[in-house]
Parts: sequence; structure tokens; C-alpha cells
Amino acid sequence: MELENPLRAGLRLERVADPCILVIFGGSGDLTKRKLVPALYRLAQLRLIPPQFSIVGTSRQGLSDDQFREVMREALGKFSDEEIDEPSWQNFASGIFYLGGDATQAATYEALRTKLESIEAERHTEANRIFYLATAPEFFGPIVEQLGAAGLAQPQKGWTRLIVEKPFGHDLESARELNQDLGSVFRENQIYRIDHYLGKETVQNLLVFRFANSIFEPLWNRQYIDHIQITNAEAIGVEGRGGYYEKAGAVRDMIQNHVFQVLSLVAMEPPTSLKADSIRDEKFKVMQAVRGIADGEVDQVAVRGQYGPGHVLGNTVPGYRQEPGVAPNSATETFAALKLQIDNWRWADVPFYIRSGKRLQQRITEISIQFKNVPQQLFSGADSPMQPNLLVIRIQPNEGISLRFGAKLPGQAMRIRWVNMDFRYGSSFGIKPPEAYERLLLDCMLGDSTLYSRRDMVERGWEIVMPILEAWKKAAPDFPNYSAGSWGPAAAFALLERDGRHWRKL
Amino acid sequence: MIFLSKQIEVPETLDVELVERELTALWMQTARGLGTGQEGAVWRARAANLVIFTSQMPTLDAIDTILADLSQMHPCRALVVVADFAGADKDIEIYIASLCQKDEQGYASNLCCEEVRLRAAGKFTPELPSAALPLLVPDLPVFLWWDNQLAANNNLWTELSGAADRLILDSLDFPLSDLQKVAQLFSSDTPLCVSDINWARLTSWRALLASFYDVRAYRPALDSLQSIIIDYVSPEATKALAPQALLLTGWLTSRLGWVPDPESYERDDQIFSIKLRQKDLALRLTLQRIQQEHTLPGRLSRVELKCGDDSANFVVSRSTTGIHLETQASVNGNTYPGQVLPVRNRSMAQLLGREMEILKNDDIYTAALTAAMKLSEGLR
Repeated sequence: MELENPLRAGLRLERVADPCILVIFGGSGDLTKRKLVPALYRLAQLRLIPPQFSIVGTSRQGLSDDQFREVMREALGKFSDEEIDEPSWQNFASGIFYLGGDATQAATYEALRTKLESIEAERHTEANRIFYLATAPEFFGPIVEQLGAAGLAQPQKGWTRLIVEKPFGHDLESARELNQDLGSVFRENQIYRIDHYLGKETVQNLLVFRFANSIFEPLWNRQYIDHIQITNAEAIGVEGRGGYYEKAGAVRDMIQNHVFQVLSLVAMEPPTSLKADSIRDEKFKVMQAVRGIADGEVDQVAVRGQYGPGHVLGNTVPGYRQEPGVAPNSATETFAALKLQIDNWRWADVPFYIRSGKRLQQRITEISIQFKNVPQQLFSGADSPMQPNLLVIRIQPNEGISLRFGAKLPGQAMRIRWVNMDFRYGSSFGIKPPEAYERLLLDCMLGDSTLYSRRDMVERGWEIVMPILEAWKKAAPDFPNYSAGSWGPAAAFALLERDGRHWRKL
Repeated sequence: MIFLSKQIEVPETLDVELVERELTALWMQTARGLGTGQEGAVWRARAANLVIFTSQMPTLDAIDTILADLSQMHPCRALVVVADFAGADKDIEIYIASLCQKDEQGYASNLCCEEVRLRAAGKFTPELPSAALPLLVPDLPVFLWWDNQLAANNNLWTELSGAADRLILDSLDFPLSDLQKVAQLFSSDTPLCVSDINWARLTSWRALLASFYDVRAYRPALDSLQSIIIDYVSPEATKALAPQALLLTGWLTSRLGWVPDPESYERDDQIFSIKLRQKDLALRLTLQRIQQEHTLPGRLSRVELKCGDDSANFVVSRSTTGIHLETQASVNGNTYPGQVLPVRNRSMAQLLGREMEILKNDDIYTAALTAAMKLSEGLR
């Protein structure tokens, strides 16, 4: 479009979306209030979406357009960290509409079609539509089926896209089933599977860090790297979502999707271009090279844990089994640690250690790349023990990159001090990075699926973890096995210690 | 913000290492006096050199405030070069300062800016560049913020701009002659990349005008453009054309391929009007000077593009309160949804910071200014 609009060239806001309507299934839900509407309002304030942009919220509740606008205004006041400019909101809200109805009934979709056509005529959205599935996952299939039956999935003019929130299935079979359902109605290039981790600036910066700098890439292989750790630690518990989490657990909730996305960006080969499928091909390729886990070896490469009562950040907190909605004998893991191997030329014999858990000591998500020791210990007499170089890419909080290297302390003695050279995103550029949902929603409107999960990647994630989930299902765990506020069960430490390594102290 | 400063003795011949040593001592003082949160080390981050030239003493405090904010976005070494041309002769004095952000614990963090201020008066002012330039941090881009009138024959201008990768200026109240000097920079043997903060202020106007034609149905209207009307609030106490109005005109005409008909100028105190041509098509451009409460002098008030026998009309205007920009589009008698967006009153530090994000030349600005100068030929 930029080429066609002569006034668009050279503007800093070159990525402006086409006019479109966003239909949110689950319109009165938490995600819409907390994330979607604040992100869309901010995009409008940043002039990144056009004035024609419109929203249709749908859910079972019977609300008028004005009542729905009122609910969204209230939510914005509560969940947006910016001051709301009332005239701008009124202008934005004039493009918000509501349709009440049962998402499993065909009549709702007839009413939806009428509503969309009327908005399109009034607001000139050029028949571009996005359907956003922000409902409970059991409705994904029925909604998509109804969209297909109503002829809303394949556009006569304009474009139609589908955004699907996680979870993408509960296991490999259900993920395949869901993908099958989606694929029978929408083409893969219409489907945008949200993984909000990919919307984070630091995750995107992984591509820049790896492929815009020539000094790191030559070191990015088995010759120089000893191992890689990916930690995804949360200090919070299940926050009232005990019912959901009981069916999920750490592997399904975090590792199979978010952590594997990060892993693939760290380990992938350079893409040949920045086109969505060029990057996603490489990510999938490296995940295909992740060594499968045999039935009998789950105990050697995977650890599960569940927190008991403890103290987190100065508060006494209950154990997982005491949380509302959680069974008193729950076998759901709130912590998981894995050791993965990638069987390709770049990563042969370089283990990737992954851990993710709730109620750990603090909230940290980071990738730590530990380099090999120097080949000869020249400084064996030095006071400080030798340490390998370490490159840490911090995803949250305090997004940034840190490199550890040795330096001589001034003085007569040969003393080595290990220092960290830090680059912190927030403070180095002083610019507020966009919220993940802002980036992802805008990308979808622009038709850029780079930061969305592709079908093959989702299914590959499940394939990798299924042997672990199957093995864990068979044997009852000895839970709880770590205290809230610790760094997880002892077995997670043993997982590395067996290899002569240690988790990084955080 | 933690701010420490001192004046340093300057020997007859500048000793660059002395300045560096004194700066380092200032860092250590920062670390000792206020704590750093990490033992024995003070970190500096420097992503650019920023040379600020001014001859106006009252602006110095304002520059310090701007630097404090700017260093959050662009940690840099700032060389503030102060030339008191009219003052009694005074050799160069050097002041150094470190500005450190406080981290959450109240310690000096690693995000800091270091300022070296060089000041001279009278006959010593031409020596300033020779003292300032050796203090640039090697291998980092050099931005020159010229907070003064342009003076192409002055040695300070020649030497400081010669060392710069990018010149930053603000044409808000430039007379036509200064705008011409900027335009000449593009055609010199060694063209300088230019950032005009006044052009940056037009970004929202340009984006909103462009956004009309992101709608495919509206795009053909651009081919039947019949008139462009731009209202602006006059620069203070003059009847001059506001550079903002000229730049926006230059942008529209250069992007859309219109050229002025030199025989068609009309001008009085309020209105400047000219016919523009493109092959056998013609349109009328009108720049109107208006009074508007709540709008600062030199700023645009309203831009209207009329197309095809008035069948399509696109307007971006500043609200009467001055705090919103509003858009309106009507095509074939139908009015379509417009936008109401708050005017972004960015501080000078924010505006400068955005300019320091760019190193390559802004070709759209170059073309817009060149077209604006062509358009204003009849005014000279």
C-alpha cells in the first residue's frame, strides 16, 4: 500500500493497518478488557490504525452498543496505565459495537453478518475482517465451524483473518484436531495463533542480536558454547485460575508454547529473509532436530514439581493444593525442568536446560548462554576461581543483555574479577516498548504472521513433550516437593549436577 | 537525576587527556558520594556525541534541562559550545558535568550523560571548534544541534558542521533567507544530513493527511485535486509566511508532482496564493494567515484538500481548544468517520531524541524543502 499512497512514503509511521473490523468472540471477557481494548486504543492514539477501524464484541450477555462501550471505558480506566483523553476515547468508541448471542447457534452468525455489513457500509472498512477467538478453548471449534457455515470465513472481497488465543489443544491429539477444525474452514495463511511471548521486544531482539551482529554468530555453536539455560520463573501462584491450571500444568501452560518459541529463536539457523515463513521455516526446522525422549529415559531428562506452602517476596503463601479450585491431592505440576538435545551440526552435545515454574523466588525469564572454559588454565593461581564467559538475555523484568567477562583487578597480585557488562533496554533507550498485544494485533492487521505460531510448530511442540506427559500420567508424584519461594525441587538441581553443571544463581 | 559539575583549569594549549582525567574523577566522585549499587565500578554509556552550539547565554539552563531528559534516550557526550560574540574578550573556559539517572534504589545507575561546556567571548570565539572537536568520542556519530541563526561564512559553523554527521536545527521562526541556506546545504559538495525539528512537528499532520489515502476508495481523489488551503498562525510580530506552511506545501507538491506556475502569484497581508500545474492539470494553492487562540505562532491550524469539483473534501484541523487534531472526510456528499487525537506537545528533549534516532538523510524533507523554496521564489 505504501507505494500506492504517495503521501505515505518516508513517514515514520509507515506500518499503518488497512481499515478493518475486529470481531472479538468473548467480547465481555477478561482478555478483552485487560489487554485487547487497551492495546487497540493505544494503537489508535499512536495513529497506527485508521479512523475506519471498528470493533464488534460478541458474547452471551445482552448489551447495547452503548452499554458495551461503557464497560470498555471502565476497563480502560482500570487497566491502561495512561491517562485517557476523553474526546479521543469518544471518537474511538464510536467504532465499537456489540452483538449478544450464543456462539454455537447459526442465528448468531446471521445477525453478525448483518451487523458487519451495516458497519462496513457506514464506516468503510473495505470488507476486511478479523475474527478473534478469546473464548474458552472448547468454543474454538464450534465458532470456526459456524463461521464457515455462514460463509464468513472466505471473503468475497477484502481479507479475512482469524486470531486464536492459546491454548492450542491439551495434547498432541487435541492440537491436531483443533488445527484440523481451523484448517477445514480457514487457510493456514489466514490463521494467526497468538503467543504473546513473541510480541515481547526482547524476544524480537533475539533476531537482531543474533543476525545483525557479526561478533556473536561465529561463537553460536557447539565449538564455543558449553550449554544453554532457559529459565521462566514466576513468583505468583495460580491467581484464582486453579480450575484452569489443574488441567494444564507447567509443561502445557508455558514450556510447550512460550519456552519452545524462545528456544527455537535461540537455536535456529539464520533465515534467508525476514519474511514470515522464512523465519518460521527455520524455527520449525530446529525444533524438528530436538531429540525425541524415549519412554524409559523421562526420569533422566525431565523433572516435575509442585509447590507447598512457603514465603514469597515477604509474604506467607499457601501451597498449590490449598489454592481455590485445586484438588487436595492434585498431581498437576507447577514446575518442570527439562534437558533437551538438538541433533544437528550446530548443537550436537550442547544441552539445553529449561525450567519453568510458579511460586519461585522471583519473576525472571532469561536465556543464559554459558561458553566453554578457556582451554588452558593460565591463571590457576589467581585468587578467584575461573568462571566461563556468560551471555544473558533477559526477557523480563528489566529486559536487556549482559555479558560476563574476567578483568584483572588493579594491583601487584594477579586477581581476576568477573564483571558484567550490561545493556538494559528500558534505561538505554528510555523508550517505552509497545505491549506485546499492541505489536501482535497490528501485525495481524498488516498481514504479518512472523510473530505468530504456525501449525507445524504448535504440533511439534506437543510431539516433544508428549512422552513426558504420558510418563508422568502413569506414575503418581510425591507432591509437594518444593517450598513456595525456593528455586524448585532438589531433583531439578540434580538434573544439571549429574552433568557437572549448575543452574545460574538468580 | 544526580548532577555533579566543576570548572577545570585550562592550560594555554588544551590538554585533551586532562579533560578526560577530570571527567573520570567526576565519575569516581559520583560513585563515592552517592553509591552505585555495585562495588568499585561506575559504568558509562555513550551512544553518540552531541555538539550544541549557542550564542545565547539565557538558553544555557534550558540546555541542561534538555540534556538531563535527553540522556535517558540517548546516553551521550554533550559538548556545549557557547560563543559570546558581543562580550568582552575572554579565553576559553571549560566546565564539566556528569548527569546520572538514579536507579530504583536511589543509586547512580549506569545511564549517564557527560557534558563538557566550552565558553569563550569576543575575539576568542573562533578558537572554540579547535578546543571542542578533539573532545569528541571516536567512532560515535556526531550530531550538531545548531541553536542559532545559520551563518554559512562563519568559521564556527564551517568547522563544527564539517565534523558533524547530522545537523539538527529548528526552522520554526526562520526567515525565508535561513530556509534557503538550509536548502543550499543539500546541494553543496559535501551535503550534510539535516534534521529539522519543525519538520518533525509536522509528522502528525502528514500522517493524518496520508491516512485518508490509505483507504483505497479515496485514493483516486488525489488525481483530481483542485485546491489546497492551508491556514496557519502567523509567526510572532511578523507577516511572514510560516515555515511550517511552506514545508507542508513543499511536501504535498513534491509528493504529488505539482510545480508552481510562476505567472500566477497573488499575495496580500493575509493570503498567499499560487496556481500549481501538473501536465495539463491545474490547482490553486492558498496559504492563509489567521488568528487563533490557543495555537502557538508559526503553527498550522487547518489543511484542506478539495478534489474533483468539490466531490471529495479532506480536512485536518486543530480544535478550537488547541489540544486535539481532528480529521474529516466527505466523498460524494457522505461524511465518513474522522479521528480526534490529542496534539502531542513533545518537549524539546523528546523532539531532539527522535531526531537522534536517524542517521541517514531524510529524502522526503529534502524534496519538500527544495519544492518549498521553488514555490517561494516569487516572494523574494
